[in-house]
Amino acid sequence: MSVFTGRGISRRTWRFLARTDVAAVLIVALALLAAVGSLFPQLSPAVAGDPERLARWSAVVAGRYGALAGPLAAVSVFRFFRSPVFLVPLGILALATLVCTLQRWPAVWRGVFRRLVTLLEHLAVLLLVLGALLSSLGWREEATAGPGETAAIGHGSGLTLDVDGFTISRYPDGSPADYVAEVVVTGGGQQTRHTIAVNRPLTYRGVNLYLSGYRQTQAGYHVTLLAVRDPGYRLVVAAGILFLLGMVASFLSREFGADTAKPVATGC
Amino acid sequence: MFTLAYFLLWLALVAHLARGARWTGRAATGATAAALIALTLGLIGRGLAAGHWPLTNRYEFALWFVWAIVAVYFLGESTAYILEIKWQERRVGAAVLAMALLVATYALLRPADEQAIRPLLPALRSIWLQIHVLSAAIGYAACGVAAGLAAVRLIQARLSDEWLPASGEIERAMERVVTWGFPLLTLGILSGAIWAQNAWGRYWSWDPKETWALVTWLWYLLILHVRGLRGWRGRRLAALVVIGFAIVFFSFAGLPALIRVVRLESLHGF
Repeated sequence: MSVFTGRGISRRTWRFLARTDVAAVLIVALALLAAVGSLFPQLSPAVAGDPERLARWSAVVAGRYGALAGPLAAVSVFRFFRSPVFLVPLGILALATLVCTLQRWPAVWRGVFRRLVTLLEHLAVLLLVLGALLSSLGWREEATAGPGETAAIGHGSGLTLDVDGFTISRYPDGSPADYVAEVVVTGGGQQTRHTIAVNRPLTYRGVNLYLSGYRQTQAGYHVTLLAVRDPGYRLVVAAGILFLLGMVASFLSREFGADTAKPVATGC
Repeated sequence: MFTLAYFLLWLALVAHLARGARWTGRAATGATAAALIALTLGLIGRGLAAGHWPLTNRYEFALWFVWAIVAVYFLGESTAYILEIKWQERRVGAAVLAMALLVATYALLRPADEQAIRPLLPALRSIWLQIHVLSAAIGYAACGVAAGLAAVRLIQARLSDEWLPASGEIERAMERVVTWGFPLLTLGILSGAIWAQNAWGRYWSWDPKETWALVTWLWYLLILHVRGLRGWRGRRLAALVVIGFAIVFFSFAGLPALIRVVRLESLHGF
């Protein structure tokens, strides 16, 4: 009758989470939820953190959904992918992935190659979730500098930026081919000169600087730069690469005839 | 060149459906090969004329999508080798060609200003964009080929046995195409994330297109998971594969309409 003891319940939960059919149901649930979330405009943290932009955004939403805007916001459809409705099933799926990963270790020690491959893929998914969590700890900030102006970046970065030139190169038909800014970065008592262009950001002491926009006045170009600190990005990319490597390994294992798995009732 | 390829695809479809005679079988394979060559030459020509890889809008993506469906079916050893060459069985190919024609018709119906060759926007000048678009096109194409095979598997019970190869062969080919397509979908999302990080400083922003890429990815992840479960191989799995391509086609062709209806903003041109 261990079913009713604490250990019995945790063991039953463990076994439940390790089941492939349970994972499948969670995957379907997440796919459906994501589809629902795509039906509503999402309030990005950048807009939410800026009172002026938030007010503009709220006005657009109020105009579009009318009387429904309030109730819809209350059930958090506009920040759907940060709401418990989406994050709880995602968390349970991550937990199930963890349980399945731990379950597979012993077989890997016994040298079952196919199990190692699945383990790598599950590990990659866990690292991806971890990377996304780390990313949520980062910050983003936009700063605009006109001619002769210095823009300061906050968040304790201690960086200031001077734009020392901005050029737009064009195709023969006049459409823009490239935007390039010459930027002088001051931070930690040092002053260095860099080129920042679209698709070619600058990484300076853990802060990425992007060219995000420009405005032309009689005084010259006012260039907007986006400063981003994202502690999770590298982990996310590494997880993606690990996932791909796992799949390549699974093809190899099939070529070597190691994939002799018979269909199972529920197992992980 | 693309009009010629379109004509050849129809020719190939009719020849694949024809019964019996040896020459119709040869015509079917020949027309498919000719269509693939025409598509390849057309894409090379378009790239040379533009001075950059033709990977910049929905029309060009659709062209690659068609090219990849024909290429995956025709060159993929798991499908063409087993079904078309080894089994001398060409009727299954008709379903795959129907998928190619679906996308090709969509491409032909794009408005003229979208079909025009344009210079490359600064944000699109990235190796990651090229990897992103190509792997997505081939990954999508694998979904299309698998769905063609799955559709045949589903209607098989209604046809006489001599018409088609054993259901096990079709299933095996379908599963192999899905297991090769899934890493390409993954690579498409990963390279897209790297590109977005380089271009906008954010690798994932829950843009509707990104969200639907996730929905697609999750659906094929589901297929790979239930495949190992007892009682899920065969017709049930085939049904999931057909639904999978419906999701792919929606997130490719239907999403702009959804974005217009719901009036969401999307950074994605295609």
